[in-house]
Amino acid sequence: MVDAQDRRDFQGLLRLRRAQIDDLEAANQDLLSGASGARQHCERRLSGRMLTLLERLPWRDKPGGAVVDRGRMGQVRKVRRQMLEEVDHEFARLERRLLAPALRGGSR
Amino acid sequence: MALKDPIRVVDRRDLQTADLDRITRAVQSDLRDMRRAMKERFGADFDSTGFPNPDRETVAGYASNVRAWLLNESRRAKETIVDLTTAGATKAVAQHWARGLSFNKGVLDLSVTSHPRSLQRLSILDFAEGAEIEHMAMLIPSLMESRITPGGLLSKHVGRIRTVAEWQAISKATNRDRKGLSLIFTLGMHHNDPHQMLPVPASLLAAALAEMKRYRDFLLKRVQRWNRI
Repeated sequence: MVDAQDRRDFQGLLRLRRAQIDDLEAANQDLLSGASGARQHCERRLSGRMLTLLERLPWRDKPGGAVVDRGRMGQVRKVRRQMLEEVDHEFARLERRLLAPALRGGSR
Repeated sequence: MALKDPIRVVDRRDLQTADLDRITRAVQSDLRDMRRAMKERFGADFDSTGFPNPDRETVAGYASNVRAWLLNESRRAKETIVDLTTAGATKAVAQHWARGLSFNKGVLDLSVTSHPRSLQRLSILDFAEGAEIEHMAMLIPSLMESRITPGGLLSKHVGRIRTVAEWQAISKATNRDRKGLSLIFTLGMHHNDPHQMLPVPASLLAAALAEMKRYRDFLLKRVQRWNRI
């Protein structure tokens, strides 16, 4: 037979702990939505930049659709380098957004 | 008839025993410390995030996970750019890629929350050890109740009360042969697992067993209902 006072005490403890766990999970969800927002921002910016840079590539019309003009590889390499730099740039921004707070605490 | 949550319908009562007072004070002060530490360490953007204390290893683990994600996703994007500009892709294909450009959400989510969750478990384990409490009950956040599936790890263990040694043995067994390892010393069962623990003082064990059985039965009944729909 379980003591009634013990039961009430445990119920109180359980309620308290569940509230704390829900509180912590809400904090986890904040962390997730912060990271998710930063990721989406990066995706949008990079998508826009890539579309702009793709227009600068030398395209040559062919029956199946326009393809990169291999006769102008200098221009292709230049734009490709810009596209790759853009990825580095956006990921550096994303890294600062995601890691800057953590880096204050040191790293492995 | 709608199922009633047996925990939520109970009025909040004063916690009267010495054990409970100790637990309450410790847990509450733990949470206050967590919030203060989070503010100090993670700034406004990460104001109310899940790092309970300035634990160096947890921060390092978080940074390591996120760095791995950044490295892999930027590598994938760069490889695609090289392929699109050298492998004869059409302009339409390249534009389609650029318009739909996206990075792996699932892996980022795992990377971001797995260490905070582990640390949240660790803080309560540390407390239980200090208070010489042997038994722990497994709970999950309300938000995660819908993640319980019949036959899954959560449905097998949620609401159960076991000693810390027993939980550790289960943790070791569930982590064996898995690629996404959890931290065994925090009683994790897999990567980014959402469960948390409630220390059960010896004086309340009998009451806890009865109450946790109700909690477990309630959750599992709801899972059965969801699976019938």
